[in-house]
Amino acid sequence: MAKILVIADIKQGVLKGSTTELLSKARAMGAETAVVAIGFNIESLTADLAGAGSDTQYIADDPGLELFSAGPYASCVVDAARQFEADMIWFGFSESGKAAAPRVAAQLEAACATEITQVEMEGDKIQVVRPAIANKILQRIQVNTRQLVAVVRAGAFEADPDVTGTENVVALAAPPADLKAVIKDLVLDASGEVDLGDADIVISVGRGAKDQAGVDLVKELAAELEAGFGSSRAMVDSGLMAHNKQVGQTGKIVAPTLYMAMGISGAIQHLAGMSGSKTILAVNKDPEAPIFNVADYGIVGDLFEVIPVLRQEIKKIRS
Amino acid sequence: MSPVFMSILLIVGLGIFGRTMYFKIQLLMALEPTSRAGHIKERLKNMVTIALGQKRLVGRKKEWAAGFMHAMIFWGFCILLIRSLNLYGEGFVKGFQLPFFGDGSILGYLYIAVKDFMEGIVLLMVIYAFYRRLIVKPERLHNTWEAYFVLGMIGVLMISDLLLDGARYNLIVLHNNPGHLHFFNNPAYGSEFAWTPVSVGAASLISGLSASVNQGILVVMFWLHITTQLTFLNFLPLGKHFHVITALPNVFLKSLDYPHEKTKLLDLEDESVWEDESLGINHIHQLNWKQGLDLYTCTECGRCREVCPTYITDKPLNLHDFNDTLKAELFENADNLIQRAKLSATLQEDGDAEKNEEIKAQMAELNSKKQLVGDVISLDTLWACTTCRACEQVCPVTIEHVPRIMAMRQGQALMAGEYPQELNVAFKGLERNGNPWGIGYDKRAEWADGLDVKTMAQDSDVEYLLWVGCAGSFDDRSKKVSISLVKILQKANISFAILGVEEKCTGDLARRSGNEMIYQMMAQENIETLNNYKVKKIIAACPHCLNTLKNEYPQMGGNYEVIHHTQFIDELIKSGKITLNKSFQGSLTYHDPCYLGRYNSVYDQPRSILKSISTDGFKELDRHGQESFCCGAGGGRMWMEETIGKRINVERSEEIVGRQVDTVAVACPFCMTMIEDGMKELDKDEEIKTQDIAELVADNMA
Repeated sequence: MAKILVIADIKQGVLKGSTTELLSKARAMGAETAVVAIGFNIESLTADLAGAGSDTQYIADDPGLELFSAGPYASCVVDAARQFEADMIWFGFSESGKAAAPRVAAQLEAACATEITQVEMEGDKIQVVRPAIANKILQRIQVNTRQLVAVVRAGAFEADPDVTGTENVVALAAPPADLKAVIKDLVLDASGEVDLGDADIVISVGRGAKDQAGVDLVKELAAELEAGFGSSRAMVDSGLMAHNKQVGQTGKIVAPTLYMAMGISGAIQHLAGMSGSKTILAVNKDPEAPIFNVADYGIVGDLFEVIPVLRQEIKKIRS
Repeated sequence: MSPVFMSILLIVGLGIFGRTMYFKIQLLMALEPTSRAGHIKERLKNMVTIALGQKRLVGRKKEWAAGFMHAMIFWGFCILLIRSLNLYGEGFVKGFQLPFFGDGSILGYLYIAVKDFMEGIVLLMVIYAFYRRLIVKPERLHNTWEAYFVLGMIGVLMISDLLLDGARYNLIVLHNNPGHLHFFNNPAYGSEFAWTPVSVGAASLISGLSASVNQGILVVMFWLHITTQLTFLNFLPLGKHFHVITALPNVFLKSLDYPHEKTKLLDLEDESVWEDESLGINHIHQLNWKQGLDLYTCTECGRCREVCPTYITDKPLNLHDFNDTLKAELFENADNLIQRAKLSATLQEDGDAEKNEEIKAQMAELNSKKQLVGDVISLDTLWACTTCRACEQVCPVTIEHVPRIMAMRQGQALMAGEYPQELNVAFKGLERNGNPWGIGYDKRAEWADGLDVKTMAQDSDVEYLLWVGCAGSFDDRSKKVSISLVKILQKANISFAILGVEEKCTGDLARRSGNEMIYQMMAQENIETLNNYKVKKIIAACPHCLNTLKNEYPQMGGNYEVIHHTQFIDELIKSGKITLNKSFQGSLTYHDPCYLGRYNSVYDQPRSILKSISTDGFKELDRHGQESFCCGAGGGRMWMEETIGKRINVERSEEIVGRQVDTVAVACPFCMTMIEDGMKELDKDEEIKTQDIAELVADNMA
């Protein structure tokens, strides 16, 4: 039976859903699963880690691991992978995953594939699929090494709601500190909002919102849906939104499952930042607005009228 | 007067001046080469009109008074040069007269009359200049002690010469010429003063003084004039007034490339340029000698700054400071640069490799320790420029700011990897899909679906290629312009085709942002396609494409006759191939795109078209034509964030709103986006429509 090691995605002491997605997929492939959790004061997560679908939990709990640092983080993963004799090591899509994966692969002399969307095993042959050239093509890659380190694209695998695991904790020794780089501090976005890049749903506000009241209206909707809250350039220029919220050619490029454009006309500069989204919903007064050319669902109307109705409907569905 | 004293003054004065100039020239010669040989006629013409004729000073309506003042002082100085030679002669020989300028010829009389008049005028101009600096205080002026000192010296030169002649007049006419002074003595002593009323006026100021005092004044004024003049000469090269000496050669040697020195086609295959890090400009020694001469010549007059869209909107780019800072860096490294150039001359192309390496290492030691961008000029300053060329168009001494900024950007993009990171998205788009938005290249011709437009692949036996450009192909707003243009061409029965999916971005954006690698890639692919179809004539729907296709592709073997759609439409109207209804309602103005106007001198055709459709007349914006104000999107700025200061497009849109028009016509897709966005920002997009000239024409065709 193949052995798959998944790296737990822990943010501020909470286990993220992507870990379950990866473990569900591993189990669905019939593999023996393990998870490696790295951090400080994370013993309390053991049950969650098992519940997410793992048979073994490798825990590296050390004050030195409180803040992410690629070197020590990779050492822990390598340690777990060797103990577990993993065939595949999967990272969820995150900046830390992207930083650590190549280090792990190099130390294990394993192949490394990023942004994979599909993985298959036949005997001990592994094949992965990853999009390339701005999603224009799909590469099918035959892995020729015994082991594979992979970074899985966000949302590629689905979580199985019935997944279960068994608790079997193995403590890992603390790795030596990284002499090359020491993380001193982690500066978080003080707004406490959902990160645009990670968000499953992104709701952006445009000129149609007119003023602060309009911005607040859209923001409330975003908070209710736990969506990332973005903006068109016009709103940034007018000072109503911060620059780090700008979606578009010269701002953030996002590709969430659902993108909602509220009062955005859809200038090409904006489209370049969001047209890769899976589903696009646009609300705009002007039926000629170019945003409707890329939208899967369009509502011609004033967002001040549409959003309250939308919120009611969402509430109904949820209850 | 005193041959000994005169000799000492001249030897010391000219000796020190010669030494200073030798050093300045030596420093220029240590800089990189650039050829300014040949085309003497054209160069002389530039020098006569721009420098001697003071074209950009007198010809600038906005500031004609200051321009007139400068021109008068300049012309006065030119005339006084002859007088100075005569005075030197008088220092040695009593009654000295230059050949042809003496009392034997009418020329002599004419000369003293003109000289006298000009001295009076220059003196008045100096007073005006003081008034301007002390009372009016125009924002653009750099008010330094140096300016006042020089003005003071000019005043002293005029006053001393007038008093010299005044005292001479008094002695001859009132005091019976005690020292047997010689001026002009034909037909009678003193009658020549009828030609010099200003000197006579000066004489009346001291006419009450005794003969001996007048004699004293004469001697003192003579030597005061000579010493002031020599001091002035030696003071010039030390500061911004060096332009008095360098302006003429600087204009004479100005690049004859249009509109300014062409960006060098970098040889990116040459490995040594990567090893030596010699691509673009990263260090002061990489300036070429003409760029050095530009720095010598900058007068800090501030005209560049006054018209600069970035300075006006509070960006850190301040061109005269930019020049000043580079000049300081140049002088700071002067000795090392000269030393370095001497070493460089000992490098032998097929000499001993080891020895060459050794020399190169020694040369590297002599490089300035400062990076030109980062240490001397800040990154924000460098990347602020929209390459609109307003500064170059207005510079009275033809300084070329933009090619230098482009070369510095090349250094940043190619060697240092320091450039606004937003550009990466656009660069990636160019590499993968041939357009800065990264939209699938296969969608490039979709705008033309159903319009019955042929592609070259279908039929290349056409007269014109219509170059659509990325915006016209992908941007919904600009697609409407492309469609209008097609309507016009079809109506006029023009045989044309488009490249369709084979067209790629011309690379303008990459080149302006210093990424020569991507530019050459785009250019090479496009030229190959164009040459394959044997394209000869191109109608470009975007001024940036026009400029690249017309002025830059010849460097890489792409030679085509390229015109902008407004030029072509104007021809169609004039030749009667299309007729327009004078049916356009509402007032109309025009925003000149920089790359159409200042880069390609197309000013008249768009106006002529607009005038022929408008019933309510055409209004000019305050800043128009050569001094048009950039929309903010040139020089790759379309693809960068504008986070410092006021937004340039809003500044321009406010100007348009202030003009109270119903429609603003544009002729460039970038201007279209910027102005339209500006109007939205000002909440005026309902009242003031932004439309391309092609759209206006298509809507008003008979």
